[in-house]
This record gives sequence, structure tokens and C-alpha cells, in this order.
Amino acid sequence: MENFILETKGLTKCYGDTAVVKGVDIHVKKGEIYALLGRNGAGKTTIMKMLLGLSRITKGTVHMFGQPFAGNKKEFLGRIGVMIETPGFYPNLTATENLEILSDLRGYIKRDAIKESLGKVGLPYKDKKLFSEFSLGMKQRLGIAAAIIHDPEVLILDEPVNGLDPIGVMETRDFIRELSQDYGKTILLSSHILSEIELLADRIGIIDKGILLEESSFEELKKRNMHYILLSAEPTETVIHMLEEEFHIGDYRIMGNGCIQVFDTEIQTKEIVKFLAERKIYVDAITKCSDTLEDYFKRITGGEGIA
Amino acid sequence: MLNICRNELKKLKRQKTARMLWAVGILIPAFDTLLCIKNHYPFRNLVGANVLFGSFLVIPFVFSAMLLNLFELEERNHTLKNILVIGVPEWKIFLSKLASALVIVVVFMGIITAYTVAGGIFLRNYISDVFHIFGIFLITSLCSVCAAMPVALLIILLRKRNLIAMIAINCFILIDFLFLWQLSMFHCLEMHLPVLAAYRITYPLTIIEYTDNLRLGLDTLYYPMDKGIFLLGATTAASLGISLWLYKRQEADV
Repeated sequence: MENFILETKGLTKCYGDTAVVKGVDIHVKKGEIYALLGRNGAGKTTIMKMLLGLSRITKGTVHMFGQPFAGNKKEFLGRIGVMIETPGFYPNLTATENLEILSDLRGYIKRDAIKESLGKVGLPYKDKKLFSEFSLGMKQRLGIAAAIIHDPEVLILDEPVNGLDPIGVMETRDFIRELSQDYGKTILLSSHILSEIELLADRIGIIDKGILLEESSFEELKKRNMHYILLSAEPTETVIHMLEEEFHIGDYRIMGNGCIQVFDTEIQTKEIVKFLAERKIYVDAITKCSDTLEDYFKRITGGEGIA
Repeated sequence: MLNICRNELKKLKRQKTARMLWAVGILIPAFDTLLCIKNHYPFRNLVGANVLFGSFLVIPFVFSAMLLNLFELEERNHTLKNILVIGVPEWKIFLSKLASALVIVVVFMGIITAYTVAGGIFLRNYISDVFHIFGIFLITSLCSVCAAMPVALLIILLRKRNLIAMIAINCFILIDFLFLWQLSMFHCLEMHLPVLAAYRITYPLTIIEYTDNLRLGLDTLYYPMDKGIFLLGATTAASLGISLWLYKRQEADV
């Protein structure tokens, strides 16, 4: 059995009779970047809030660092850096003053921590600019600075690149990668920006309407699902039956136009053509295709594109 | 706990609401003192007036409004989640905000003492016991704050609707003050309201020079000390207990 730094079992959240998160099982390994991918309102933030004790868990359990996350809250939370939703700070204070309050509350932070964390996100130390005068991107950076100020082992970041300009997005992405690769930090982030997830995540969990639809490494996902054979041959039902019999395909999908998507890409296309031709079924078209993460997301959630 | 309390006060830096409250707390007792100086009242009257307007009107108002401000600023700026994810328990947050509002009360008591002493110098009948004067304001203000503690309940219930909360606490403080203002009317002396008990049990302490009139006042306003302290203690404990319970329940889902 693998050791997970963060693990949930049957995590459920209900508001009255409505379940907004339904039996979610997340498994985050040490040192990896795990991304929760889902539309707005899919339940990503609610899951993160439950992980941190900000929202009551209706059903299910959370394990952090191999222990149940109940009691010893401060001990656990001291090892986690958090940025949930839009970063909230006091508008009448400067970035440094805001971080001083947070570091004072944490109580055991090294002397230059504020300066270092501000430096890492590209914000000036002891600047006189008030938080109310910050742009959305600067606010986001300050949120990240607050999350890393105490050098946590695990970072939980909700939409970390939200509101950043393209350069800011790139810098934040590099920074998150650096935290994971160079400092061994475990990062759980959520996003609805597929391109970012594609570039950043080691593993992803796809969530839709409060249900975790899939959880796997990005490489595994690519290999397993995002590459497929697109086949056009009639009659469709017979072709599928034959392919099941001969090639033991189990993972396929019939598209609206009658084409068949076969997700077992180990099979050679020429073998399929030869096999069907021998049985007097003529293939109109056959090709190996690659889905983008967005195509895959659409397929798995059975709906429109993200966001 | 001290750290959290200090941070609560830092949050008021450059804040408009806090500045307005400071202005109210500084200007009203100053106006009251100037009025006494202008009318050449004796020093004992200046102390009496500052106890009535300062300790029983300005102090409970400033305390309530600052407390509301401290709770409400976390709601407005979505900062509570930052504190909760550090692992600071809700009861500590609640008590630190309460303690910070009390620290501000003590600062205002110092300001009122300074006004009273300065007024005494102008009136040329100043009794030079600054600590005695400060003691009078300290005890009367604390009793008045205890009597006004049900506002904590209003603040916790209404803090997400700032305007309604501000109107509600102001109404509470003003109604309390009207009872004091009309103490001899409306059968107020037969009532057992916390604010009346606070005023009546602290009244003997505020007398710095006995006269026949004051003797009469003492007899009229007499309220048993033990009963008064019990009433204030029970009001404070019940208000804080229920408020804290509600706060913890509400904060469970940020």
C-alpha cells in the first residue's frame, strides 16, 4: 500500500438534502503536484475547505501525514500553506504589515521569512503601497507569499493563477514547479484552466458535480485515454462485436456520427483493417488521434468545455 | 493570546471607521468638559458629568462599535479563513477581539481622566488625585461595559449586515442611556436593568466631595452592591457565553 501525504475516503458534503461533494477519494503522494480539475461550482473549493477544517465534513475521513485529521489541528496546519479562493487581506495595511500579522499568529517563523516570501513572489518588502491599491495579480501573489511564509511541507492552492497576467501565470507556474522539484513540496491545487494543469500537474483528479470522475497521473491518462483510434465502418454494432471478440477491446465509444473511438492504442490500425476486410466489412476511415485535455474533459464529464 | 490581541489592534491602523470612533471618543468628553468650564461648575459636577456622558454613553458606544468593527472587518475582507487555517481556535479569536475593545476602552478612560484633570485646573478647584479620578472612570466604565455586554450577542448575530448591526447596537446603548437620563422617572428605580444597577452601585464611588444634596442622591440611588455585582456578572457571563457559542457554530462553515 502506498503512503499518501493526503488522503480522503468517501468525503461528502451536504447542505440540507443537497450533496455538493459526493464520496470523494483523493490520494496525494509526497512531492507531487496534484491538480483538482473541474468547472466553476464543481466542488473543488468545498473539498479544499473540508481538508482544512474550514467546512464541516458531512461524511468521510481525511488523513494527513498518515494520521487522521481530527484534533491536533494546529500541529497539522503548521505544516500546510494555504490559499483558498480570492486572497483576503486587510486593505488598510501594506503587504508587509499583512504578512507580519499572519507570521505573528503563526508564532515560530524565522526572521527574514516575510522578506524572503515577498521576494519569491516578486513583491517589494516594506513597500508603502496599501493592499487596497494592489492589482488582482499582486493580490494573488501576496496570497501565495502568505501560503509559503512558514515553509510548509504541503501547499493547498485554490486557483493560484486566477487573475494573473500571462507573465505572472508563467512565473507562478515556474515557481510552483520549483517548489515541488527543488524543495520537495507536495502541492494540491485546483484550477479550471486546462492549459495550466497540462503544464503543471503530475497527477490530476477530474471533478464534476461533486463527484471525482477520475484520478490518475497525467502520463497514465495520456497513454490510456487521450490517444485513440478513430474508426468509421458499418454496421457499427457488428464491427464493435467483432473487435470485442478478436481484439478484446473494452474501452470504446460510439460517437454521434457513427464513428467508433477505440481507446486501446496498442492495436495496429492495419490489423483492424485487414481483419474487417477479411469479413467483408469495408473501413471508410481509420486513423490514430490524440485528444487534448479539454477534449478528454468534455468526454469524461459528458458535457461542454470547461469554465 | 497577547500576540493575537496586539494584532487585532494593528488591523485598525489607517482604518476610517476606527478613526471616526476615535474622534467621537475624543470630542464628546472634550465638549462636555468645555461646557462645565464655561458654566464654572464645581469640580465634582465635572466628574459627575464625565462619568455620565463618558463612562455611560461614550465608552459603551465606542466599545460596541469597535467590537463590531473588529468582527466585521474579517467578514468584509474575507480574512477569517487566513486565521483559521493557521489553527487559531474560534474562542481565542473571539476573546482577543473582546480584549482589544477593552484595551481601547482603557485608553479612552485615560483620555477622559486627562480632560477631567485639565478641566479641574481651569476651574481652579482641582483635587490633585489623578489616580483616584482614573479609578472612578475605570470602575464606572467597566461596570457600564458589563451592562452593555448583550451587544456582543447583537454583533455576533448581525455582523454580516454591518449597517443593521450598527443601528441595533446604537439603539441598545441609547435606550440604556435614556434610562439613566430619566432615572427618577418612569419608575426606573424599581427596575433591575443591568445599566441601572451599574450606575447605582458605582454612584458612591464618583462622589469626591460630599454635600447635602449628594447625601440625598446616595439614599435615593442606593442599590445593594452584592445584588448589583451579581446582576452585572450574570449579564456579562450569559451574553459572552451565548455569543461565543453562536460564533463557534457560525464559523464552522466559513
